[in-house]
Amino acid sequence: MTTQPLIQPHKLNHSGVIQLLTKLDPKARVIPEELVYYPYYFLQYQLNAKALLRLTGKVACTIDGISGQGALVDAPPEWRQAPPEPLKTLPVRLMEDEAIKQAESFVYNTAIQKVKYFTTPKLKRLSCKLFHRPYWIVRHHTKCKEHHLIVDAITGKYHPL
Amino acid sequence: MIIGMWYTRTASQSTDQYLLGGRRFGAAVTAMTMQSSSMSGYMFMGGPAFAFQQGWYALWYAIGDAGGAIINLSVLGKRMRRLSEILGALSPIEYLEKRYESAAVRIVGSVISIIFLFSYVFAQFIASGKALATLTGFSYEWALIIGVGVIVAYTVAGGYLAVVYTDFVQGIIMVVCVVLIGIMAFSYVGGLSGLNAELSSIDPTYLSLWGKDLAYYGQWGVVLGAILIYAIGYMGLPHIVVRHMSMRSTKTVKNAILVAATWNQFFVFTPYLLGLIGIVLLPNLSDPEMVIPELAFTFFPAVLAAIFLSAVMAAIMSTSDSLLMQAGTTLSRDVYQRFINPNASPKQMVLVSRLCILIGGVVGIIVAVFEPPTVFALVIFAFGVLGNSFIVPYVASVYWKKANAMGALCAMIGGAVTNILWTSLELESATAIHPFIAGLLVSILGMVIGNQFGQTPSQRIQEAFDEAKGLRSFTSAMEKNISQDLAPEAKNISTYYFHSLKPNAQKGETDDHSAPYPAT
Repeated sequence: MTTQPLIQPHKLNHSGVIQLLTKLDPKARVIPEELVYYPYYFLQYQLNAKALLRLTGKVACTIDGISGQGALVDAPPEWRQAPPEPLKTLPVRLMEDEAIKQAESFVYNTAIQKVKYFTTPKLKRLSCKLFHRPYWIVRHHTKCKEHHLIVDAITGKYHPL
Repeated sequence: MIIGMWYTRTASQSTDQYLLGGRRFGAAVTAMTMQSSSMSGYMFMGGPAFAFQQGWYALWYAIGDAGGAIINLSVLGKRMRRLSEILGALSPIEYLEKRYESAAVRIVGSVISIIFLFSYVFAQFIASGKALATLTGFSYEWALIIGVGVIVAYTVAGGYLAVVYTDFVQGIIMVVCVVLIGIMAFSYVGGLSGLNAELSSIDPTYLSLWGKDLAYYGQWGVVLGAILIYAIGYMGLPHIVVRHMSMRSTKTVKNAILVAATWNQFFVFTPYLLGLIGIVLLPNLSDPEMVIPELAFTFFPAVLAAIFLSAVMAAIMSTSDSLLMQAGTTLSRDVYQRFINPNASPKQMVLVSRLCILIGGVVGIIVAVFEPPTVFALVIFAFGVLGNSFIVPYVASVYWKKANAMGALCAMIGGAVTNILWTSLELESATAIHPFIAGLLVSILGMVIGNQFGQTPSQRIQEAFDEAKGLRSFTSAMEKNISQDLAPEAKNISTYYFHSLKPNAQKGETDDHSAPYPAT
């Protein structure tokens, strides 16, 4: 039995993307071509450490489901069950157990670099979920060049392909 | 301590607020953190001592320092941040290994950086011992043990927010105290004209740009070295370079340059000028490195003197903390995990890092108690060797596509060895060339010559290099807002899109004059 994946609902629609990019480059022609869904694992931990004073709280990160890159998260993502119609989702390459290993290593490495503890911090995993985040693939024409960009359909952040 | 407590409470109270996450520091905090980490106890002890001994000549070092932040951030800033992200490097030494595709680069880089980062931090320990001895009246040995104990405990104790904001506050304290003391001191000597008149009456060569008794007369190689060591040296310091790798946006970089450069203009000249004032007000001073503490205690109200000495400790602590963390990370990640125990658990890594910091602290105390070199000599030496080892490999990594591992190794080893030999054999006086200049020239030659014998970087690295250049001919507004965080996603989506979804679509930039776009 296959279950529909969890997805984050997109906030930027077709016209929102055009508006966002033409505001930055009014002379360009912006054509959103596809909405694709990118896989991430969301892992949440309870952290307990002895710092200058006792330091407890949650630490969360996402692990890129394809390349395994980690990123810290400052708010839990909102997601819902994907609708029945087919979505263009990128295939997951990283298995869950590997993602868990990557996440723990990432959080510890970040801790080593950023936080100074008296003792080794203790991490207790609270959750691990696979979800998909929406990105627009956009064609961006200027007078003599054409680029493709991805635009995060939630935050509006973009990067050239 | 109060800042630490406040932020710890904030972090613990809210269950929704994640530790570590959601931290978006503005340009001011970023710049001040960077500057307070860069400006060490040297600025309160070594620099003024040199001015006390050599007169106006010492200001050559300040001139380089005043422009150092601008050069450092402008040259490496954006490109290095992009490339380290593309390569997925977490530490500056790991970055070198990945860019040059060589484990040997990592081994040599780690050894050099560990030895000289610890040398640099030893200078901070000595400075802390001297400052605390003046402040408390304890013997130097006891003051040293207390000072180092506080620094090591502080380094392993605080939280990140607390550390960043303490750096920020320390940066403010440092500049305000230095400017206040400068104003007070100048009132004692009748301003700049009065100071120069007094110096001239003691020894006119104090006013010369060639040093006391014209010791460096015509030695442009030495003067150039004095300017360049701090003007470009920061690009070779792993604990400063690591900040390029963690910057969030190019907008932050630009504003951080402005803030850091402004802060520098207020901060870097005054300690040297106080050293000059010391010549007039403290003619019988036995230890020139104590010129500022002695000035503070002899001529200023006790409260001001105490605040000032807290600024000295602020400078020492903010630098030591970054140095120790960097040395600990290099040892645990770049040496222990990479070569000794690849399957080390995170717990073992943290333990190794902490142990290294502790051992470094103990060794530092022993060295500083039994044979304390001057802060000036030790900082210039350690700073110079680090700069000579790493500036060329770092700069070449982002500006020379064909730069390879052999070139980087020759540059690192050649630069370091030259500086060490030049300093220990005292070749500066024989050749009239500063060790930093000699090391830099050999390092550049090493990169150019060594590069002829190594393998050309792989296609992957060359592509990453082009990507890091960021030349995409977007408008500046578009360029400025490109989110580097999305680089890995962009790469994977690109593969998916152009191979699976639209295999016939053309990737990247195309000359497309026929494409329609709105009339302007």
